[in-house]
Amino acid sequence: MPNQAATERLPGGERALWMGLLGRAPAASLAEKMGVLGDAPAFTWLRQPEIGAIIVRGRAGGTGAAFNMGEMTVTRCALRLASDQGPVGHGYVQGRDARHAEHAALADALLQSPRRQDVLDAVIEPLEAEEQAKRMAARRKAGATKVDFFTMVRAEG
Amino acid sequence: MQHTEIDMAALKSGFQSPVLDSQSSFRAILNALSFPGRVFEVPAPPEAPEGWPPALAAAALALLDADTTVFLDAGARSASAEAFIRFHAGAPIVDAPGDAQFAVLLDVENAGFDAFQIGEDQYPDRSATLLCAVQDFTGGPPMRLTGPGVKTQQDIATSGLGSAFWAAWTRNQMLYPLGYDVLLAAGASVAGLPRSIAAEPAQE
Repeated sequence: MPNQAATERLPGGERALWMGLLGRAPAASLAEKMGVLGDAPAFTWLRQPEIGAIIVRGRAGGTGAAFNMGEMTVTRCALRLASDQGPVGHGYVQGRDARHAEHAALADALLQSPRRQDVLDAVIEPLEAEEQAKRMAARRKAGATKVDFFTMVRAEG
Repeated sequence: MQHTEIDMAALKSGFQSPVLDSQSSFRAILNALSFPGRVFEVPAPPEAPEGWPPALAAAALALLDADTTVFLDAGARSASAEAFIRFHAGAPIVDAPGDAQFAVLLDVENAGFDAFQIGEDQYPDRSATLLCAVQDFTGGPPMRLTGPGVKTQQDIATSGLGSAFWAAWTRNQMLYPLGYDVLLAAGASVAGLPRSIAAEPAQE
Protein backbone atom coordinates (compact mmCIF):
# COMPACT_ATOMS: atom_id res chain seq x y z
CA MET A 1 0.00 0.00 0.00
CA PRO A 2 1.37 3.38 -0.87
CA ASN A 3 -0.03 5.23 2.10
CA GLN A 4 1.93 3.53 4.85
CA ALA A 5 1.35 6.15 7.52
CA ALA A 6 -2.44 6.13 7.13
CA THR A 7 -2.45 2.34 7.21
CA GLU A 8 -0.77 2.21 10.57
CA ARG A 9 -3.16 4.71 12.10
CA LEU A 10 -6.32 2.82 11.14
CA PRO A 11 -7.66 0.32 13.67
CA GLY A 12 -8.40 -2.25 10.96
CA GLY A 13 -5.00 -1.82 9.33
CA GLU A 14 -4.64 -1.78 5.58
CA ARG A 15 -7.81 -3.82 5.10
CA ALA A 16 -9.84 -0.97 6.56
CA LEU A 17 -8.17 1.32 4.05
CA TRP A 18 -9.10 -0.76 1.01
CA MET A 19 -12.60 -1.56 2.33
CA GLY A 20 -13.18 2.19 2.54
CA LEU A 21 -11.82 2.80 -0.94
CA LEU A 22 -13.91 -0.01 -2.45
CA GLY A 23 -17.03 1.17 -0.63
CA ARG A 24 -16.70 4.78 -1.72
CA ALA A 25 -15.54 4.16 -5.30
CA PRO A 26 -18.08 4.85 -8.07
CA ALA A 27 -19.53 1.57 -9.36
CA ALA A 28 -18.47 2.17 -12.96
CA SER A 29 -14.92 3.02 -12.00
CA LEU A 30 -14.55 -0.10 -9.85
CA ALA A 31 -16.11 -2.29 -12.55
CA GLU A 32 -13.66 -0.98 -15.12
CA LYS A 33 -10.67 -1.68 -12.88
CA MET A 34 -11.88 -5.17 -11.99
CA GLY A 35 -12.20 -5.79 -15.73
CA VAL A 36 -8.47 -5.21 -16.08
CA LEU A 37 -7.86 -8.25 -13.85
CA GLY A 38 -9.49 -10.51 -16.44
CA ASP A 39 -12.30 -13.01 -15.90
CA ALA A 40 -13.79 -12.99 -12.42
CA PRO A 41 -12.54 -15.97 -10.39
CA ALA A 42 -15.05 -18.65 -9.38
CA PHE A 43 -16.64 -18.11 -5.98
CA THR A 44 -19.56 -19.19 -3.81
CA TRP A 45 -21.89 -16.80 -2.05
CA LEU A 46 -21.89 -16.76 1.72
CA ARG A 47 -24.36 -13.91 1.67
CA GLN A 48 -25.92 -12.81 -1.57
CA PRO A 49 -26.07 -9.07 -2.21
CA GLU A 50 -28.75 -7.47 -0.05
CA ILE A 51 -29.83 -3.87 0.30
CA GLY A 52 -30.22 -2.27 3.69
CA ALA A 53 -29.78 0.92 5.66
CA ILE A 54 -27.10 1.82 8.14
CA ILE A 55 -26.80 4.72 10.56
CA VAL A 56 -23.99 7.10 9.72
CA ARG A 57 -22.29 8.63 12.71
CA GLY A 58 -20.11 11.65 12.54
CA ARG A 59 -18.58 14.37 14.63
CA ALA A 60 -20.89 17.18 13.62
CA GLY A 61 -20.94 19.27 16.76
CA GLY A 62 -18.30 21.54 18.15
CA THR A 63 -17.54 19.30 21.12
CA GLY A 64 -16.33 16.39 19.02
CA ALA A 65 -18.88 13.91 20.35
CA ALA A 66 -20.12 11.36 17.82
CA PHE A 67 -23.61 12.06 16.56
CA ASN A 68 -26.11 10.03 14.53
CA MET A 69 -26.19 12.05 11.32
CA GLY A 70 -28.65 9.98 9.37
CA GLU A 71 -29.24 6.81 7.44
CA MET A 72 -27.72 5.76 4.17
CA THR A 73 -28.49 2.93 1.80
CA VAL A 74 -25.82 0.26 1.48
CA THR A 75 -25.56 -3.02 -0.38
CA ARG A 76 -23.53 -5.77 1.20
CA CYS A 77 -22.49 -9.28 0.32
CA ALA A 78 -19.95 -11.90 1.29
CA LEU A 79 -18.33 -14.56 -0.85
CA ARG A 80 -15.64 -17.19 -0.71
CA LEU A 81 -13.23 -17.80 -3.57
CA ALA A 82 -13.65 -21.27 -5.03
CA SER A 83 -10.13 -22.46 -4.29
CA ASP A 84 -10.00 -24.90 -1.39
CA GLN A 85 -10.70 -22.99 1.84
CA GLY A 86 -10.37 -19.83 -0.23
CA PRO A 87 -10.34 -16.41 1.39
CA VAL A 88 -13.62 -14.71 2.28
CA GLY A 89 -14.33 -11.27 0.87
CA HIS A 90 -16.89 -8.78 2.14
CA GLY A 91 -18.37 -5.94 0.15
CA TYR A 92 -20.17 -2.98 1.70
CA VAL A 93 -20.88 -0.24 -0.83
CA GLN A 94 -22.99 2.91 -1.05
CA GLY A 95 -26.23 2.63 -2.96
CA ARG A 96 -28.29 -0.22 -4.33
CA ASP A 97 -26.00 -1.75 -6.94
CA ALA A 98 -25.53 -5.49 -6.39
CA ARG A 99 -22.76 -5.78 -9.00
CA HIS A 100 -20.88 -3.03 -7.24
CA ALA A 101 -20.99 -4.94 -3.95
CA GLU A 102 -19.91 -8.11 -5.75
CA HIS A 103 -16.90 -6.36 -7.27
CA ALA A 104 -15.93 -4.90 -3.91
CA ALA A 105 -16.18 -8.31 -2.21
CA LEU A 106 -14.18 -9.97 -5.00
CA ALA A 107 -11.47 -7.36 -4.69
CA ASP A 108 -11.38 -7.84 -0.91
CA ALA A 109 -11.08 -11.61 -1.31
CA LEU A 110 -8.38 -11.35 -3.98
CA LEU A 111 -6.40 -8.98 -1.78
CA GLN A 112 -6.12 -11.83 0.74
CA SER A 113 -5.08 -14.31 -1.93
CA PRO A 114 -1.79 -14.82 -3.79
CA ARG A 115 -3.04 -12.36 -6.44
CA ARG A 116 -2.82 -9.53 -3.93
CA GLN A 117 -0.17 -7.55 -5.78
CA ASP A 118 -2.16 -7.56 -9.05
CA VAL A 119 -5.18 -6.13 -7.29
CA LEU A 120 -3.14 -3.52 -5.47
CA ASP A 121 -1.67 -2.36 -8.77
CA ALA A 122 -4.77 -2.57 -10.94
CA VAL A 123 -7.51 -1.55 -8.51
CA ILE A 124 -6.49 -0.10 -5.20
CA GLU A 125 -3.78 2.33 -6.30
CA PRO A 126 -5.79 3.81 -9.19
CA LEU A 127 -8.82 4.18 -6.90
CA GLU A 128 -6.69 5.88 -4.32
CA ALA A 129 -5.31 8.25 -6.94
CA GLU A 130 -8.81 9.04 -8.21
CA GLU A 131 -10.10 9.72 -4.73
CA GLN A 132 -7.11 11.93 -4.01
CA ALA A 133 -7.68 13.86 -7.25
CA LYS A 134 -11.34 14.34 -6.39
CA ARG A 135 -10.43 15.65 -2.96
CA MET A 136 -7.86 18.01 -4.39
CA ALA A 137 -10.37 19.31 -6.95
CA ALA A 138 -12.90 20.01 -4.20
CA ARG A 139 -10.20 21.67 -2.14
CA ARG A 140 -9.13 23.84 -5.09
CA LYS A 141 -12.72 24.86 -5.74
CA ALA A 142 -13.17 25.82 -2.13
CA GLY A 143 -9.74 27.45 -2.10
CA ALA A 144 -10.66 29.67 -5.04
CA THR A 145 -13.46 31.27 -3.05
CA LYS A 146 -11.31 32.00 -0.06
CA VAL A 147 -11.59 35.57 1.17
CA ASP A 148 -8.98 37.25 3.28
CA PHE A 149 -10.48 39.78 5.60
CA PHE A 150 -8.44 42.73 6.52
CA THR A 151 -9.17 46.15 7.90
CA MET A 152 -7.46 49.25 6.79
CA VAL A 153 -6.39 51.47 9.54
CA ARG A 154 -8.35 54.63 9.19
CA ALA A 155 -6.43 57.75 9.47
CA GLU A 156 -8.38 59.50 12.15
CA GLY A 157 -7.88 62.72 13.82
CA MET B 1 -21.40 -9.00 25.77
CA GLN B 2 -18.04 -10.01 24.44
CA HIS B 3 -17.12 -9.37 20.86
CA THR B 4 -14.99 -11.98 19.21
CA GLU B 5 -14.37 -12.27 15.53
CA ILE B 6 -16.46 -14.70 13.54
CA ASP B 7 -14.32 -17.57 12.26
CA MET B 8 -14.70 -16.87 8.53
CA ALA B 9 -12.66 -19.88 7.46
CA ALA B 10 -15.26 -22.20 9.00
CA LEU B 11 -18.30 -20.34 7.71
CA LYS B 12 -20.80 -22.20 5.51
CA SER B 13 -23.12 -20.46 3.09
CA GLY B 14 -26.73 -19.96 4.11
CA PHE B 15 -29.96 -20.05 2.12
CA GLN B 16 -29.70 -19.65 -1.65
CA SER B 17 -32.46 -17.09 -1.57
CA PRO B 18 -32.57 -15.78 2.00
CA VAL B 19 -35.99 -14.15 1.89
CA LEU B 20 -37.99 -16.78 -0.01
CA ASP B 21 -36.26 -19.78 1.56
CA SER B 22 -36.70 -18.56 5.12
CA GLN B 23 -40.34 -17.75 4.41
CA SER B 24 -41.03 -21.22 3.03
CA SER B 25 -39.10 -22.79 5.90
CA PHE B 26 -41.17 -20.81 8.36
CA ARG B 27 -44.35 -21.93 6.64
CA ALA B 28 -43.22 -25.57 6.75
CA ILE B 29 -42.40 -25.29 10.46
CA LEU B 30 -45.77 -23.66 11.12
CA ASN B 31 -47.47 -26.54 9.30
CA ALA B 32 -45.36 -29.09 11.14
CA LEU B 33 -46.39 -27.71 14.52
CA SER B 34 -50.04 -27.39 13.43
CA PHE B 35 -50.22 -30.98 12.19
CA PRO B 36 -48.06 -32.85 14.70
CA GLY B 37 -46.33 -35.90 13.33
CA ARG B 38 -46.79 -35.04 9.66
CA VAL B 39 -43.58 -34.58 7.73
CA PHE B 40 -42.97 -31.38 5.74
CA GLU B 41 -40.19 -30.48 3.32
CA VAL B 42 -38.09 -27.36 3.85
CA PRO B 43 -35.82 -25.66 1.29
CA ALA B 44 -32.50 -26.84 2.69
CA PRO B 45 -29.44 -24.63 2.38
CA PRO B 46 -26.70 -26.16 0.21
CA GLU B 47 -24.26 -26.32 3.11
CA ALA B 48 -24.83 -26.92 6.80
CA PRO B 49 -22.54 -26.95 9.84
CA GLU B 50 -20.80 -30.27 10.56
CA GLY B 51 -23.22 -32.96 11.64
CA TRP B 52 -26.36 -30.88 11.17
CA PRO B 53 -29.08 -32.26 8.90
CA PRO B 54 -29.84 -29.61 6.25
CA ALA B 55 -33.38 -29.20 7.59
CA LEU B 56 -31.98 -28.33 11.00
CA ALA B 57 -29.87 -25.58 9.46
CA ALA B 58 -32.94 -24.32 7.55
CA ALA B 59 -35.03 -24.24 10.73
CA ALA B 60 -32.28 -22.42 12.61
CA LEU B 61 -31.98 -19.79 9.88
CA ALA B 62 -35.74 -19.32 9.69
CA LEU B 63 -36.36 -19.06 13.44
CA LEU B 64 -33.29 -17.42 14.94
CA ASP B 65 -32.46 -13.74 14.93
CA ALA B 66 -30.76 -11.18 17.13
CA ASP B 67 -33.60 -11.33 19.68
CA THR B 68 -33.53 -15.08 20.29
CA THR B 69 -30.99 -16.82 22.48
CA VAL B 70 -29.86 -20.23 21.31
CA PHE B 71 -28.13 -23.15 23.03
CA LEU B 72 -26.06 -25.63 21.03
CA ASP B 73 -25.36 -29.03 22.55
CA ALA B 74 -21.85 -30.47 22.53
CA GLY B 75 -22.40 -32.27 19.24
CA ALA B 76 -23.95 -29.28 17.51
CA ARG B 77 -21.39 -26.76 18.72
CA SER B 78 -18.42 -26.38 16.42
CA ALA B 79 -16.52 -23.52 14.86
CA SER B 80 -18.65 -23.79 11.73
CA ALA B 81 -21.91 -23.89 13.72
CA GLU B 82 -20.97 -20.83 15.76
CA ALA B 83 -19.95 -18.94 12.63
CA PHE B 84 -23.15 -20.06 10.86
CA ILE B 85 -25.46 -18.88 13.65
CA ARG B 86 -23.62 -15.63 14.26
CA PHE B 87 -23.12 -14.62 10.63
CA HIS B 88 -26.41 -15.68 9.08
CA ALA B 89 -28.84 -15.33 11.99
CA GLY B 90 -27.05 -12.96 14.35
CA ALA B 91 -28.44 -14.87 17.34
CA PRO B 92 -26.62 -14.82 20.69
CA ILE B 93 -25.31 -18.28 21.65
CA VAL B 94 -25.73 -19.09 25.35
CA ASP B 95 -23.89 -21.69 27.42
CA ALA B 96 -26.68 -22.65 29.81
CA PRO B 97 -29.74 -24.53 28.47
CA GLY B 98 -31.91 -22.63 30.97
CA ASP B 99 -31.11 -19.29 29.30
CA ALA B 100 -32.08 -20.44 25.84
CA GLN B 101 -35.23 -19.72 23.87
CA PHE B 102 -34.12 -22.16 21.21
CA ALA B 103 -31.82 -25.16 21.37
CA VAL B 104 -30.12 -27.15 18.64
CA LEU B 105 -29.61 -30.74 19.77
CA LEU B 106 -27.71 -33.38 17.83
CA ASP B 107 -27.36 -35.84 20.70
CA VAL B 108 -31.07 -36.04 21.48
CA GLU B 109 -30.82 -39.17 23.63
CA ASN B 110 -28.51 -37.52 26.15
CA ALA B 111 -30.03 -34.05 26.18
CA GLY B 112 -30.95 -32.96 29.70
CA PHE B 113 -34.52 -32.07 28.79
CA ASP B 114 -35.42 -30.96 32.31
CA ALA B 115 -32.96 -28.08 32.07
CA PHE B 116 -34.89 -26.21 29.37
CA GLN B 117 -37.38 -23.46 30.05
CA ILE B 118 -41.01 -24.53 30.28
CA GLY B 119 -42.50 -21.05 30.60
CA GLU B 120 -44.42 -19.53 33.50
CA ASP B 121 -48.05 -19.88 34.56
CA GLN B 122 -48.86 -16.40 33.32
CA TYR B 123 -46.55 -16.57 30.30
CA PRO B 124 -46.45 -20.15 28.98
CA ASP B 125 -44.88 -18.78 25.81
CA ARG B 126 -41.63 -18.09 27.66
CA SER B 127 -40.52 -21.63 26.99
CA ALA B 128 -37.84 -23.21 24.86
CA THR B 129 -38.26 -24.65 21.38
CA LEU B 130 -35.92 -27.57 20.79
CA LEU B 131 -34.65 -28.27 17.29
CA CYS B 132 -33.62 -31.93 17.35
CA ALA B 133 -31.70 -33.88 14.74
CA VAL B 134 -33.01 -37.38 14.00
CA GLN B 135 -32.07 -39.94 11.35
CA ASP B 136 -35.39 -40.31 9.51
CA PHE B 137 -39.15 -40.42 10.00
CA THR B 138 -39.83 -43.93 8.73
CA GLY B 139 -37.35 -46.43 10.13
CA GLY B 140 -37.86 -46.25 13.88
CA PRO B 141 -40.36 -47.68 16.35
CA PRO B 142 -43.80 -46.26 15.53
CA MET B 143 -45.33 -43.90 18.06
CA ARG B 144 -48.99 -42.93 18.06
CA LEU B 145 -49.69 -39.24 18.55
CA THR B 146 -52.99 -37.84 19.81
CA GLY B 147 -54.01 -34.32 20.70
CA PRO B 148 -54.85 -30.97 19.10
CA GLY B 149 -54.01 -30.95 15.40
CA VAL B 150 -54.46 -34.71 15.04
CA LYS B 151 -57.96 -35.67 13.90
CA THR B 152 -57.93 -39.26 15.05
CA GLN B 153 -54.40 -40.50 15.31
CA GLN B 154 -51.09 -39.94 13.63
CA ASP B 155 -48.18 -42.36 13.65
CA ILE B 156 -44.58 -41.31 13.44
CA ALA B 157 -41.69 -43.74 13.26
CA THR B 158 -38.71 -41.60 14.02
CA SER B 159 -35.37 -43.30 14.20
CA GLY B 160 -32.95 -41.57 16.49
CA LEU B 161 -35.38 -41.02 19.35
CA GLY B 162 -35.03 -43.61 22.09
CA SER B 163 -36.92 -44.35 25.27
CA ALA B 164 -35.12 -41.58 27.15
CA PHE B 165 -36.62 -39.01 24.79
CA TRP B 166 -40.15 -40.41 24.99
CA ALA B 167 -39.96 -40.68 28.79
CA ALA B 168 -38.95 -37.02 28.96
CA TRP B 169 -41.73 -36.24 26.49
CA THR B 170 -44.35 -37.82 28.73
CA ARG B 171 -43.13 -35.70 31.65
CA ASN B 172 -43.19 -32.63 29.41
CA GLN B 173 -46.67 -33.34 28.15
CA MET B 174 -48.03 -33.56 31.68
CA LEU B 175 -46.83 -30.01 32.38
CA TYR B 176 -49.31 -28.61 29.87
CA PRO B 177 -49.96 -25.65 29.39
CA LEU B 178 -46.30 -25.32 30.32
CA GLY B 179 -43.53 -27.26 28.61
CA TYR B 180 -41.14 -27.05 25.71
CA ASP B 181 -41.96 -27.70 22.05
CA VAL B 182 -39.91 -29.92 19.79
CA LEU B 183 -39.16 -29.71 16.09
CA LEU B 184 -37.58 -32.82 14.61
CA ALA B 185 -35.33 -32.51 11.57
CA ALA B 186 -34.01 -35.24 9.31
CA GLY B 187 -32.54 -34.75 5.85
CA ALA B 188 -34.54 -31.98 4.26
CA SER B 189 -37.76 -32.46 6.23
CA VAL B 190 -39.19 -31.50 9.58
CA ALA B 191 -41.94 -32.77 11.88
CA GLY B 192 -43.36 -31.04 14.92
CA LEU B 193 -44.16 -32.17 18.45
CA PRO B 194 -45.94 -29.37 20.28
CA ARG B 195 -46.27 -29.79 24.05
CA SER B 196 -50.01 -30.54 23.79
CA ILE B 197 -49.40 -33.85 22.01
CA ALA B 198 -49.47 -37.19 23.81
CA ALA B 199 -47.36 -40.04 22.45
CA GLU B 200 -47.53 -43.75 23.15
CA PRO B 201 -46.10 -46.79 21.38
CA ALA B 202 -48.37 -47.72 18.48
CA GLN B 203 -50.17 -51.09 18.79
CA GLU B 204 -49.62 -53.32 15.81
